[in-house]
Amino acid sequence: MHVRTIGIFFGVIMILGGARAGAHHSWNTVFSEDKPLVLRGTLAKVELVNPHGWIWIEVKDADGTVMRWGIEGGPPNNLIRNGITKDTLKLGEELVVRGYGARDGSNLLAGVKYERADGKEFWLGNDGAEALAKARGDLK
Amino acid sequence: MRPTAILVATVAFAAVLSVRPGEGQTYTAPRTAGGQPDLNGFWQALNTAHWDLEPHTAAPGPVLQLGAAYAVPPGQGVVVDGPIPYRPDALEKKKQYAANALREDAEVKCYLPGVPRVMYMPYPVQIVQSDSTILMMSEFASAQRTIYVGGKNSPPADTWMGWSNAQWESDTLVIDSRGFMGGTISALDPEGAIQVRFLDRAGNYHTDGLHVVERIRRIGPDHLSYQATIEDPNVYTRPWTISMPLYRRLEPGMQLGEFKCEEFVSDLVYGKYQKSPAR
Amino acid sequence: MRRGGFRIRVGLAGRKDPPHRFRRAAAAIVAAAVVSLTATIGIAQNPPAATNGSYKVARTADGRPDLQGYWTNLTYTPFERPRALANKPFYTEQEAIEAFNKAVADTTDQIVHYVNSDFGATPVQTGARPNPRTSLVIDPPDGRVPALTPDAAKREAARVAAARSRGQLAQTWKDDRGTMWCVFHDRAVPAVVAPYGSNYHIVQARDWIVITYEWNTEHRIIPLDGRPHAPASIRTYAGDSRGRWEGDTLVVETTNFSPNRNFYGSGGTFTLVERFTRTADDTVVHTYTVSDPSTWTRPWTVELPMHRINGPMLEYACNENNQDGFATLKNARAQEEGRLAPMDAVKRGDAKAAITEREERGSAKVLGGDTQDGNK
Repeated sequence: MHVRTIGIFFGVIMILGGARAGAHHSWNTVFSEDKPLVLRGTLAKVELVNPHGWIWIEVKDADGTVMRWGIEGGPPNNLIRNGITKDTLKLGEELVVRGYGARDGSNLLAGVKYERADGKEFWLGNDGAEALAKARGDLK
Repeated sequence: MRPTAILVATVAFAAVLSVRPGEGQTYTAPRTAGGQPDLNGFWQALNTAHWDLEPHTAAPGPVLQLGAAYAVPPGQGVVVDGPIPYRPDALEKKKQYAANALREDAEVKCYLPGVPRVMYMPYPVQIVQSDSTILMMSEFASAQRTIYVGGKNSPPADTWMGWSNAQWESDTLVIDSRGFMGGTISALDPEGAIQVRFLDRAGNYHTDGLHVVERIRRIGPDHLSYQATIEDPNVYTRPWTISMPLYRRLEPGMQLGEFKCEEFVSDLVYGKYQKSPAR
Repeated sequence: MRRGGFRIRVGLAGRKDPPHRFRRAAAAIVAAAVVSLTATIGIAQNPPAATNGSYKVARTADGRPDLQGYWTNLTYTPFERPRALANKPFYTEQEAIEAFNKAVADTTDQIVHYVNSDFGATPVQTGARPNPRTSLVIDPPDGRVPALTPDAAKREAARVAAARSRGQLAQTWKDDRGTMWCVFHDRAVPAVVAPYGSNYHIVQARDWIVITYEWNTEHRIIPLDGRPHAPASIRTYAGDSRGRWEGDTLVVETTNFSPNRNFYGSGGTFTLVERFTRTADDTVVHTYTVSDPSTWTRPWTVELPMHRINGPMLEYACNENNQDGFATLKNARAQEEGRLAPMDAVKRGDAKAAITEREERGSAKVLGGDTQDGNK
């Protein structure tokens, strides 16, 4: 039987009666795609909080000055359910993060791609689904 | 100071309220269907610990126009082994934070109050208890503690209300909590940032180094004995303990009201970046 | 089927983003979910009964059905049924699986934001499963929210017009949805499925059941002791809930919603009746009916299967971490004063491919480390 598929939507793009459409926060009020950036640095701090996890990396610019950049990421709950905790992330490790900078020029990035020194993805990457199947930690 | 008198008073105070398991218990709490002492219900402190954990005389409040309605009432204090053993550098910071309390105190911004502060704020705390999980929910900002009975995991991340593992020692619930945020996240605008976590309105504070061990037990049909030992090497030279009764709210049909104070403070917090208040 | 946007495939020397791993893993989850799908189909076609097929519900020490644990209602099923499927409330099992797989493959992320799948935050990664239903709204029979009454339609039109007249830039915190959600996350009740994080933690005692929602740690504290509702003057965001057991089904009636609510056109004057039935070890079926004669021409019903997931559910401290809220307001003022260029339009697409493409054509600024090739 042939089913005519009409846009299987994400199930969530609906206009709630009172609220405005869009993501829970419009990233575009904070960040701009006119500011694509590649940051190479070392991991200095991790804040696994909702709604956005943050990592801070130290980036050395051309004349050796060290700048701290905050990188806004996604929610931490599924990371934690997959065994990533504040203790499993290695401070001092080298990272390359690609994303978009803040409209107001502050040292903040909306992180899109995160890469370790060995080229592997820093968070779960697209293997998240497999990690879910594998990781059955004893976290309640 | 009269150290002997303080020592005597402290010991007497401790003897009254620090009930140890197996020592002179006259009350046996009813059990849940699962066989645990039943802590379900609404509990509230009736003291001035939320103003100041240490003994304090009455004083004017921080806002003149609020007059007597927000003046500091007197209190005998709840610290068993005081004074609070500050490191000298931390005591200096406490004085600065206290002087800037309206800006530094999480309570003003309706931020989550943390532990043990949530247990003695002037709002009811509801305990809903299952065999494996005990929830303690405050009316203030809908703050919620999840207590893992028999839990052994370390905190996967830092939170405002901490990560609590608990076990029963006879009829006493012993809760061990770590993993507390020390302040707001680094990216937060200065208008919303707080640097440390207040334990009361007087500026007694902790950092992310906090470790709390609480002991809770029923001492009668409508009373809990509540003690908390507070440890934070960033601030104190040794652990110290507070102790107080918690009283059952007896009103029939008692339930927590909804106190979403975030709404009441948002003009205050975001006001600098608004053209006019929202309300 | 690609939904708008664009998809750029860039060949990176030596490394290419593997799009197939994600789909393979999702297929594995689908295969494992077929058994649960059967249980869900069983429930969908028959009203939940105390003994449904061979499943014997686990019980708490109080003898009640045990609904405790961590659950997700994340799904790819749309809230309302596409009009072309109006007469098709159910897929076959095979169609349901195909629709699920297609939805997983069709996922695109906003072009400038974190990538949900990196954080495990897509429905399939969290534990969503195929659903035989073609929409979450199951009544009216066409699977769509019923029409507003004429008065309600006027009310809504006026409200939307007023909102639009405030312009695109946030004037106060109330114009920022994320900040409003820090007060009360309205997707908590009645349940409306979010793109991620639509997860629950249920804890039961004899006289109370607590349902905690992941967003904003919204908890619903529901008494089971038969007490009456609060007085009509008490109106709250989460409403006033009263629960009771009907056989092995938990029934929760909620009234007294705040006039600050707006749920599909109803300003808090709706009544909500929910039913929770555990139909398998790893499934709770949650249905709810909302009614408000001053808003909708008839009541309507939603069904949301909940599937078991691992814990924990991390605290969601919202206003404490609301960096975006401050930035939204600050930047709105800066834009008004001409100190900041206008916001970008929101585009959808493959975020990783897009940033890679920008870097490849040299428009990305590189900071830190050496900029020699070695990391492309």
